[in-house]
Amino acid sequence: MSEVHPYIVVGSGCTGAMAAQTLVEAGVNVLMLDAGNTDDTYEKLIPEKDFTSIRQTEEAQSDYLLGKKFESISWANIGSGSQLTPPRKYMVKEVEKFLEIASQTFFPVESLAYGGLGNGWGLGSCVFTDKELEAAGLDASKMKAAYQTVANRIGISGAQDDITAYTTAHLSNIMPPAPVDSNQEQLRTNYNRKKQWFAQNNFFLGRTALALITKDKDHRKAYQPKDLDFYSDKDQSAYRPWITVNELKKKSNFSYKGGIIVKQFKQLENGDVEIITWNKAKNEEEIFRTQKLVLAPGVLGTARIVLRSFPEENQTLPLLCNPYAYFPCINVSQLGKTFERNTSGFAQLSLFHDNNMQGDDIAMASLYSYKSLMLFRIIKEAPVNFRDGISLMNFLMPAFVIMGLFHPEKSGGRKSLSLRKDTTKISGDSLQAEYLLSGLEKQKITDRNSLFKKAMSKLGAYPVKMIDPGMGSSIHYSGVLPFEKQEKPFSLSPDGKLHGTKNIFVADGSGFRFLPAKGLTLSLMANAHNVAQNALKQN
Amino acid sequence: MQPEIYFRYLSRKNPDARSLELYSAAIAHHQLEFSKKENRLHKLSQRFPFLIPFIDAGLALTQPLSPYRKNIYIILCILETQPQYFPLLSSSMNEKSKQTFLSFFFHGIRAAFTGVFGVILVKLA
Repeated sequence: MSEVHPYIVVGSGCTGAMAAQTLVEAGVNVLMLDAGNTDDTYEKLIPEKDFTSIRQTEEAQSDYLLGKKFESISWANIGSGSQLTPPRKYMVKEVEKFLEIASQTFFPVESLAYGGLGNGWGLGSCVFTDKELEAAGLDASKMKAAYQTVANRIGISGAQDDITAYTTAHLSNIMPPAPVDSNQEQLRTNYNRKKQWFAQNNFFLGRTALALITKDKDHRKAYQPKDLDFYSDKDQSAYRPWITVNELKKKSNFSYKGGIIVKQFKQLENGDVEIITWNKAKNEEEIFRTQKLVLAPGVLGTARIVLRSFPEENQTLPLLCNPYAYFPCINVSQLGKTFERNTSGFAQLSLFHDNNMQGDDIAMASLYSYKSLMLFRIIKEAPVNFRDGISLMNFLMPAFVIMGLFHPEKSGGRKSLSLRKDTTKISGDSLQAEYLLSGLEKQKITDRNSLFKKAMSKLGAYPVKMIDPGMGSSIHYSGVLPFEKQEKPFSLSPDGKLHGTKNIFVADGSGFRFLPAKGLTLSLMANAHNVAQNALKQN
Repeated sequence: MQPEIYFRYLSRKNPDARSLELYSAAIAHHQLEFSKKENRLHKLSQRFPFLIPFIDAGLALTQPLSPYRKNIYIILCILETQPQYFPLLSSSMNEKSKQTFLSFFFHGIRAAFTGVFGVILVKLA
């Protein structure tokens, strides 16, 4: 009989890393199972210089700006993760092979990387309001304590301003924010000048709270803006879950096994759990046993595993995903200006719309300046020839503000997942997804988009286009196993245990019954910490 | 494919060996399949390189994802990642080559006229 591990955590992303850290700190033995794909090509090629210096001097820059296989030259934007820079492409490596999904209406991004989707996290960190927590099915008092624990672990920077109530709220130990560039400083000036209009219309602007350290923390270095945020994490100032897992690997009560894709689990009569996995290197099944299983492979991954584990039910699961669109805007005061040398690629400002000022219907936009993602990506979108496109975009680029707008999402419409047998796939099945908003939901989104466009114009940044990348592009998913106080199949108890099981916990966002528009990751990590604590309690 | 004319179209310079080498490697990864019409446009471009801006502009309005334009796009990507072309493709990062509103409007008006003529040319080809 194979060894019985006290705890097995599945997945090394933000939630897996947090759950594992909580368990390891409590002194129990933890094995992490993970696909664990890494970037073995690019990180070492990127020199210790800022983006502009690289562009001016490095002969080999095409290797990592375009990619060794020219993968950054994306002509029709087809496929999962097509907008990722070459050094980030490993996040979606092997996804099409192992995580098959079929849909005409839902286009998610999933990852089999070491650190999961956390490698591409925009770092936006927000606590949910009490009403948002309640609607999501989370305990407000427990989450408040967990938020602080996670903030202390990962390091968060932000400011005390008009949006603090929506970002860091009650959290302490917040580091000061990184400098803001002149493009966005101008927006802030305009906001302060027209504050009355914004307040009357329930809009609030301020510095984005980020999981980015601006002071040295342990072995991680304070953020130095080099505009390489989409390419490299060398100084580890941006929090990535692999930083936590690397630290855990130094502990004697933690072990890590990569190259593993979890397929399903089986509950044994003695309460132990058998985990059936696929070993990628050996190309064969491998079985693990544990007393307690903590699932954190991401919402869609959890859905696959649970549906495979109860195949006789032929179940359809609900699904939630934040509607998302982005709007290139022109900040007219910056037209023809010169870029500052070292700026940040992360969101610098956030704009919140608190619809009824009750804290339960908030939409959020993150504002980005555009530089290190290269000129060629936007020249392609212009309806002019490439030569004129170069001249025009060079003029416009310092004035670009990209507004990424997230809408809150509740259940309703036709939003579901199911599993269909497909013998042509390695897994033997394929996830089927349908995501159709109701007419009312679509209208609400359109109305709110208009409000945000008006607010941006008031800030002096005029939206020129709306780009809707389709449902799934927000990379915020939840609700497949909604929290239920009563025992009910295919749902989670409020402490994260899968109903109908004794020792199976879910630490990712599968239980969230409501998806606030705010950056989700901090709440996912706080919940993962709580779920791990609950798993410890139920010994 | 003879890419030199398209390099000259974008940069007004003859391409260096490194850029041509990158172009060959990129084409190996991004297959280009020209239709009969695109082959005609390509031959026309070789014979009369001054027509390339018009063909490019015409296709940008009528068939923006045309392989003819993809070919030029690949060259643009290569140029943007070569340090010697930094001043051309990154003038907004370069204090000395700051652009004025006047030049922006000149380029805008020129782009509009090029587009109109280009659409007619592409339809006739």
